[in-house]
Amino acid sequence: MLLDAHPSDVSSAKLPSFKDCTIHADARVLIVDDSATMRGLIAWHLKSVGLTNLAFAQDGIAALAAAEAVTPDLVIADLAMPNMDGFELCRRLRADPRTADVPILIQTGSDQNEDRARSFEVGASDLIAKPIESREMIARVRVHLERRSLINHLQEYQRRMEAELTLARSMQHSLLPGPGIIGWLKRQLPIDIASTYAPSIDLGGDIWGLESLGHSRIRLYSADFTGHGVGAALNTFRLHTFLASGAAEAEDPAEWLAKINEFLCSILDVGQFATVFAAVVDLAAGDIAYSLAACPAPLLRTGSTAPFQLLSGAGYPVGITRAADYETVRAPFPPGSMLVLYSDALIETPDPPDAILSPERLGDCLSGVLSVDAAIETMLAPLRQPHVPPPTDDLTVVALSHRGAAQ
Amino acid sequence: MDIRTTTDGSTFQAHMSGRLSFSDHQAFRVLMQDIEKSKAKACVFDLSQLTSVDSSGLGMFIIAAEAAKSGNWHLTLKGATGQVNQLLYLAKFDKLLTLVG
Repeated sequence: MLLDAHPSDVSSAKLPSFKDCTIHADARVLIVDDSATMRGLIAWHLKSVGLTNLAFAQDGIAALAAAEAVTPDLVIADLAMPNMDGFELCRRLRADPRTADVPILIQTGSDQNEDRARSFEVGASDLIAKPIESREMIARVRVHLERRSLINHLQEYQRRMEAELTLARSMQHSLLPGPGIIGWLKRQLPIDIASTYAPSIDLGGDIWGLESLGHSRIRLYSADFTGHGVGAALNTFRLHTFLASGAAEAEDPAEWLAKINEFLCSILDVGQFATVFAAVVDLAAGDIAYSLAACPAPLLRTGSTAPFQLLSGAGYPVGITRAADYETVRAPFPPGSMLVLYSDALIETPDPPDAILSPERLGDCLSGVLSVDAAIETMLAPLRQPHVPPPTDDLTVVALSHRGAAQ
Repeated sequence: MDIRTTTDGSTFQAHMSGRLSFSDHQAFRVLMQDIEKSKAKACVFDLSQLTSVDSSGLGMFIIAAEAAKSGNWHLTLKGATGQVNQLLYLAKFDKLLTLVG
């Protein structure tokens, strides 16, 4: 191994210390060279700028063992070495997930074009010209350690955000009626309920709920806040808290919507709103009262054999204007009847005008469906085809049916 | 969404095409600034080439309407068809904004 540069030739002492910049001086650098002199020279240069956390290997095999033991932040390797050369070392480091991202600097002669090209092909991050020029080597080490440090920070940030979003999705899911309340309602009332809720990857603004109003009556609602992400998700918590406080005490769906509208107008930013469906089902009387606030048209089957009808109608979204008024519509809901609600992701996947499903098509799909579970399966099946992209927004579907006489 | 704007001094026109959605917030903010800078007294959003809109897109129309009110200019949404037109009427935006065919 040639030794063309001598420590006395270099001016590394004039460079700023690593302690002065954003790079941690304790960055671990693995030096791989079969020449003890070269290992010593490189180490001398690195120590002169404050990098003292160094490990050494005399060939590729020893380097792999050292990399496993110390998890380096940077590797400086020679090419020609006994047992395992620098090319193979590069390949092995890149193939191992633990070292796939570690910067690897390869020492090559400036006239060895074939080696230089091959080094990049096997995964080298950069080259260091031989004979080693101190300032160039330190500059390259600095660039790659900085890059490594930034990537580490970003990866750490991403990991933290993913963990936070997973927690947030779980918390948002917990706002929805769980098996406990649904099971209790099914025991108290002649109803069947099935639902599905698939939160989008970056959170969304869907929420639905149901509560017993006594005397065989049940309130069912679904709401979808504008936008995606944390803001939309937080708005579902605001609405849930408002409803849980009992502040929207009103039997009539239109009056109930008006109270929610008043509340949301007072807290939402301009441009934010929610589309809502609100209903009160009276199982003893066999009827339903509902009000629409710009939601996708729910589907209603009156009795067990009738076709599904769209409950279409215009309505102001809640949270835009205090001047909004809402209308309650009544319809029969005898035993065998079924009501199906869904969020717009169901009819906006892929984006319109290419969406697979439309409210009308949903009505056709559901024709003759026997149970609430079958209704949900039937609605989701077209979106589960392999060529269909996943929805980009929360997807909620809720089905409620009248089972028959009260128990 | 793609957007092309023209102005003749008194009327600012924004021709929108494609899908207006959540991801267009930044483009929409720039559009609002451009309208303000133009000092136009009327602004027309030409929606005839807009193929679809999501609820965030509808929210942007509300933001524009509020900006028009505070900036003392008039906003018209023109030529919406298909899903865009359906959603505008579903949400009673014909009562909140000026829609023309």
